[in-house]
Amino acid sequence: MNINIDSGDDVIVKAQIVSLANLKAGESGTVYEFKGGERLRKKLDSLGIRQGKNVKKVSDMVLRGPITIQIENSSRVAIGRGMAEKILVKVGK
Amino acid sequence: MKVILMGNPNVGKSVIFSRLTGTSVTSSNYAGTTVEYKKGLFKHQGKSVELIDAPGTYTLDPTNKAEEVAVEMLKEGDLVFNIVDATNLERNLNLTLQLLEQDIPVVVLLNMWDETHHKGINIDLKKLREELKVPVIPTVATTGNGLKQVLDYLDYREVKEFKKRSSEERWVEIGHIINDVQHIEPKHHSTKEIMEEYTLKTWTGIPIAALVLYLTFVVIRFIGEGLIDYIANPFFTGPFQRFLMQISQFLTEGSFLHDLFIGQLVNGQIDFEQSFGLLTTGIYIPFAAVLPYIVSFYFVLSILEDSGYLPRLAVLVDNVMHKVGLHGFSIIPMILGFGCNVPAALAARNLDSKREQFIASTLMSISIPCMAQTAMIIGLVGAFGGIYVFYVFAALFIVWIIVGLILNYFLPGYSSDLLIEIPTLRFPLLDIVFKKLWMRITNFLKEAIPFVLLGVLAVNVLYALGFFAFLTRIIGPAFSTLFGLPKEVISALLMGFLRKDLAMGMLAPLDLTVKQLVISSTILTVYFPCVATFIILFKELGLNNMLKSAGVMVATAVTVGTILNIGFNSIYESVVTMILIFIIIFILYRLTSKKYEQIME
Repeated sequence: MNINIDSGDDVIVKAQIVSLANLKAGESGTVYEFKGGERLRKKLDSLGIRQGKNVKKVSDMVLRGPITIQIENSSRVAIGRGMAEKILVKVGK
Repeated sequence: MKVILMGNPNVGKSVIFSRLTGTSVTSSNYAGTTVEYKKGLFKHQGKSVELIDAPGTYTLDPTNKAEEVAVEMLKEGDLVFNIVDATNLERNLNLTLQLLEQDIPVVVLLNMWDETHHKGINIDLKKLREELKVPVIPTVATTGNGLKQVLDYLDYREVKEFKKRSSEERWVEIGHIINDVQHIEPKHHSTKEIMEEYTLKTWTGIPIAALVLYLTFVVIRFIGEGLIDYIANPFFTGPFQRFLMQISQFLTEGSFLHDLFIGQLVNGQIDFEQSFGLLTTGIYIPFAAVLPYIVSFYFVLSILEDSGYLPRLAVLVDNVMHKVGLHGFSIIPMILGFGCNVPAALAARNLDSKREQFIASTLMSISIPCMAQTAMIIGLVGAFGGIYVFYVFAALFIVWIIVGLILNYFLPGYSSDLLIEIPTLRFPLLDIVFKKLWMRITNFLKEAIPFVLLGVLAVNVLYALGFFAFLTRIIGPAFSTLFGLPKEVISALLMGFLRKDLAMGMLAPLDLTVKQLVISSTILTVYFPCVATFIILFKELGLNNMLKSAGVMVATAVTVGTILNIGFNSIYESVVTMILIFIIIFILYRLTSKKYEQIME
């Protein structure tokens, strides 16, 4: 999904919203939205994953294995594939 | 007075506990291993202090059982030492603010203070104290720096008023605090960080894991065999045997007391594996055959735990674990099971759902032999060649996969997703490793020795009463037809309920062929866990599920024993059997994948 953000000086910058599962290893993004219930949000929140946080994808395990991310100024967290698909991040400016 | 240690997982809480109390404690790098909380007593300036190591928790709004326990403990304390990872201040402050909102005095320990400098993190302590309005003490748990000052605050009893906030308001507040007190100089990726990431990537992580597991096995074997060959056996076959022979002569062979304490002589000599007296086999099995392996296993496990490697293993095996209805985290109870099934069954409690707890406990009890049993398998079966030990473990591994697939298919629901913090790799502190090792060994001796002695006693009494003869007559025929085993093995199975190592020991005098040994070792692992594990399963799963689990175990044991007996008589037969097994695995795999897809839709 693409969204257009008006950056203020009339320049339209394209940002892309992808799930954490679809982010490429090595890429960074900003946590944008959770496609899950309150329980998921709470669980992620306690680990420091919440809206606006910058995360970098460290690795991607084969055969639908978990995704590891590095949260800015914080810890590394491994997230199962199903859950990672519910975490949307914004890539680019 | 009662002091509670609280903090996120992996902040060095257990190390601080260990340093303050000086007693032995399980301290692990793995998120959530300390569900069984630790209590320690110490004296400070004449006052006795009770220190409680609460399970690591990220929040007071519990998301799992371990966190619930932590919140419960908070109610009993006079004071909380909140341990905070200084290198990860923002996330850790979430718990701190929640604690400040409670009606209990809080002292903040800013741990890993030394690492902030390497990471380019500057924290303004004065400002942080002003913001939090409570004492904040920088500490370094690994060296013990700062802990002396911590003790000065044992009498701190001020409770500051903090208004209750919603989760969002709290994060806003934390944002302000972080802005005020913390300054981070951007640093490049250090070589260590890059190395650490290799352990998490598929194509580098899997070979590293294979190497780690191989080394683990080699080191356990090396230390275990070394202790047996150079310490245990020389002592037992030397001075101890001479001493027992004197007792034997004194009691005179064949008398009741001789049978009880020394047992049967083999060719006029004591045979520690076969005599079956309280002082001979009853002492030999726990001390000489099993203890060396317990020491080496827990030594290596403690190092693995404290190095922070285990969560990485959980990430690597996650996709396989999903197929049997679990997720990567469940590798922990499985690995613990290789030491002793009891702590493993307890660790299964940390899994996300009842379903996962049931699958994990059942799979663990069915196909993971504890170190006591493994040591005896290596001793008895290994005498015929290492390949036979491999057969036993290969059979158990196949059982693990098939039973897991079946349980995952038939039990309603599906496995939840993995979500764990990956701590940084660090060198384990040897003094902490040894403290932990000491505690685990004393636990083993306390648990095992009474049971082994009781078991040897029971064997002698039941034998004298003719109970074994009675039982073998009844189930013996079915036993030899299905499993091709002599009827006497039944008594060993019966004993296996008490102690698996002892049961293996009972196979020694039976003159079994190697095939029969492989079959009986496998059945002995699968059919039932020992009584200690059984009690835990009962407590953790409840009667109903425990009985279900036991049903699965017995059914599996009968099936496996029969297949091993009739399916591998020639090379041709073995190939056909293996092909059939793989077809079954494939079909089950397809079925469970389909079920998962349907649920997803």
